[in-house]
Amino acid sequence: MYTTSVPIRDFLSVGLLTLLLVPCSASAKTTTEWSFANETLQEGWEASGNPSLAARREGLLITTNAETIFGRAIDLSHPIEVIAIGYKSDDLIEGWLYWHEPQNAPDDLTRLPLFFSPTKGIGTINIDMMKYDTWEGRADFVGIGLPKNSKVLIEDLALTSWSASEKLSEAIKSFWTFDVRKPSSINFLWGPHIAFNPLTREQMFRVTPPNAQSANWYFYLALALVTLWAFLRIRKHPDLRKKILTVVMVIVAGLWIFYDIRMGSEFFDYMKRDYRTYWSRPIGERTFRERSYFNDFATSVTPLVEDQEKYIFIATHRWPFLGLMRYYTYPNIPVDPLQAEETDTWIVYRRPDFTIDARGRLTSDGIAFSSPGKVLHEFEKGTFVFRVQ
Amino acid sequence: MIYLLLPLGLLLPTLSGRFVIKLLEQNHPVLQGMERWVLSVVFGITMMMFFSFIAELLGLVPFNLTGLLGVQIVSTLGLWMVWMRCKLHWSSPVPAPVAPSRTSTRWMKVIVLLLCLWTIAKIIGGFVTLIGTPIYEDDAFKNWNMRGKQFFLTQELTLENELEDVLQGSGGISSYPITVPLTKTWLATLAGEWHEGLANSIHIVWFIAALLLVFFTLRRKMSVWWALFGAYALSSLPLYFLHGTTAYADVFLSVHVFAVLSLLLGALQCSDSKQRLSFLRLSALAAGLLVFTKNEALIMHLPVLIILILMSLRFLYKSEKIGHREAHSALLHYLILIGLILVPWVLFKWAHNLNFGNAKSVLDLNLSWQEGVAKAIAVNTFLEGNWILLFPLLIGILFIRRKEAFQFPNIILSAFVLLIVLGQFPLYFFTGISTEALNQTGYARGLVQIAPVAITLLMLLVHSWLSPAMNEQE
Repeated sequence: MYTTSVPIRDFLSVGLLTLLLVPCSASAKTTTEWSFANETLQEGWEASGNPSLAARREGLLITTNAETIFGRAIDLSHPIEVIAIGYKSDDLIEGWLYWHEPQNAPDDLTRLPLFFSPTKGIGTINIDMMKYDTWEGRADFVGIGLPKNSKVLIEDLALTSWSASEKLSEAIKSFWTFDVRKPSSINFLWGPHIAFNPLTREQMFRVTPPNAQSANWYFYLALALVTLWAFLRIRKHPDLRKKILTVVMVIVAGLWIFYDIRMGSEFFDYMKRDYRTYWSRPIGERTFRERSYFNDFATSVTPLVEDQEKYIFIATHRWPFLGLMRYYTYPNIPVDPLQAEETDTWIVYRRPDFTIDARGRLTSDGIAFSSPGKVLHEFEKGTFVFRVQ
Repeated sequence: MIYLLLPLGLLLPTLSGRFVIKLLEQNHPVLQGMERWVLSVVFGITMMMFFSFIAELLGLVPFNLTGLLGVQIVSTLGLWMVWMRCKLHWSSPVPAPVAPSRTSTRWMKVIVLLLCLWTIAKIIGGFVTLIGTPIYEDDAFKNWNMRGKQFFLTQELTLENELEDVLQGSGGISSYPITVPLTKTWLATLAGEWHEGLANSIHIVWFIAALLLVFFTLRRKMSVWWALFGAYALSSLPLYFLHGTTAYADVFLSVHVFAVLSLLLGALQCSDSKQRLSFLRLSALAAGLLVFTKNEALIMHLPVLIILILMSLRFLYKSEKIGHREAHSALLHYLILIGLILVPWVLFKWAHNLNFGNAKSVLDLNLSWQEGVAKAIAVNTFLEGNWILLFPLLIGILFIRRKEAFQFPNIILSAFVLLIVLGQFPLYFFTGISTEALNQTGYARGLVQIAPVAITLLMLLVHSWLSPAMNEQE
């Protein structure tokens, strides 16, 4: 019989090495914020390009006639890790974020593209500055660049940094933050990622690739430290080789199991979402991942095209809906509107631009696509089955 | 209750698989009891689907209940009669040798048992998702389930070009072997309807078979607890697990690839010359059936496996572990069993102008440097959550234990992993197939296909590395 006796001191040594990686200083989260809401005009803000500035209840409305930089000089006592801009816009504006680093020449501004997506109310752009390799955490000027003939309302601008303990806490939370199951999951799973602030953590799996660090780096660091420790110990105490190798094996197995628990939990989180949105809901209310109610829709329209060798199918996107429709309704084949002469049945999914005109024809943007007919079944506006009479 | 049709549908394929295995083992059984059943299921399904394919091609049967059941009954009865006849001349089989099971420490047993429970919970969850959610992944509704449904509805081997219309956004699916879709057709035929969950349920069988085969392969060299940990390690690979519980065919392919190498490894590890030949004959069957799994098997895995098989036979012959006659017999088995499936399948492909590649034809490639491939490969292999720590650990142990890793018998596993992984690199770096790496599609699936081999190799090398330490502690 063999028994493995691993000295607790060995584990402590490795544990202490790992602890060295943990930041131990602590201070509070720090934010410097300028709010333009309630018709507030903040001092120190200047604009180039002679834009029109109007103080409104929701914020400062900027209307540009030429390329504009709206910014100010700053002298902060804390580093900048995230820049958050609260704004409102009716159109997509391709602007820039400008900053000046103290060590650079006075005119040497750095900029990065900034997309103001259209918003319904006030939206927020959070820019994680730490992901830029050249960013050193300090600036003496920040500003927003806007193109010619643009209009955006700025509600506020905040520059934030977090304390070491908050970063550690966020790093742990982000490790246990799960991605959702997507069609691409069959090819790759992002796995655990590490973010050091809550804004990055909340967004990290919403962008591709995640805007955070792969946690694998930390596993590799741990492996490297264990290997180094084992190498040094075996050199010093060759007679302890068997015990040292056992410790290494136990730690590696432990890391593996820990990783598996993380990824297994993500899998159960997928199931939880499926239960909440699909399994536990009745037909008509249930949705399935990003496909919404498409699967139930496709199943229910299948009998309506059973007498049609081919039918026309229109959806928001060709993929994956066309392939899915073909699968669900086979041997009845969905075809493209370009092949409209071959069939008289149309299935329309989530295309509110397709309507029936006064003469009973299927139209979109004023163009008639069919002869007069009638809607056989309508699920919601823009989702229906239409047949030419 | 419809899911009871799964075991019912597997009954005849499993029996026929078992008779073939028994016939190949002859008077010298080498498989552990449960291992034989697992291989019976895996080989039986692929073999029955191949027989059905041939029968349909010859115009003997359609893909309906009478046709598919008829092929299975005739094949099973035929194999049973041959086996009964041969059995008369064979003495009582000797149990297959396994490594002695050392008593492990209590904490190790507790941890491994907890990991087994965790794995069982995950497999149940995966199975529920597999059979209980709508079809989701691209290849499932464009290829594997689509073709199964086509065969079910048309009751014939449909190669409908209409479905491969560029406008329809699909292509090349008819070039794949039909084992996976036809198995789904068979289950749907038993049910009398196309039932999504039932059609998908077969995938969990291949996944569990992969775990069990890794366990039994490791069990030949190590204790129950170590072997269990190896099977757990495979199940814990997130991307392998996801594929195992999805209607994709890469885990199915991985079981066949692994069976060829596991049985070849058994032959190299074996000390009895007769049992060694049993292993080689079984490995030949696995290599033959591998052809009828996916296109990659034919163009990527089989050539490498043939090299390794020839190397192994040469090694066994040179080291006087087999004589000239035995080597000749083993080679003949490989030639016949591979040829029996390869020749009709390749002729069929040529006759119907079906391509040999996966996503793209391999015969029509322009060479030029592809940007971003190295980064995509590195990210998928090392920085995502797909493989836990498998590849860095495997690279590390291959370096530390290089002498053992690149000697017989382990060299067949290490050479296979390296040749398959590194062999694909030129295609990714210099051809349009680079999209398979950049989009992390074909590259990741290539790793899924070799995952059981990689895990087995890792476990064998780690076990042998730690064995002296453990032996000293006994």
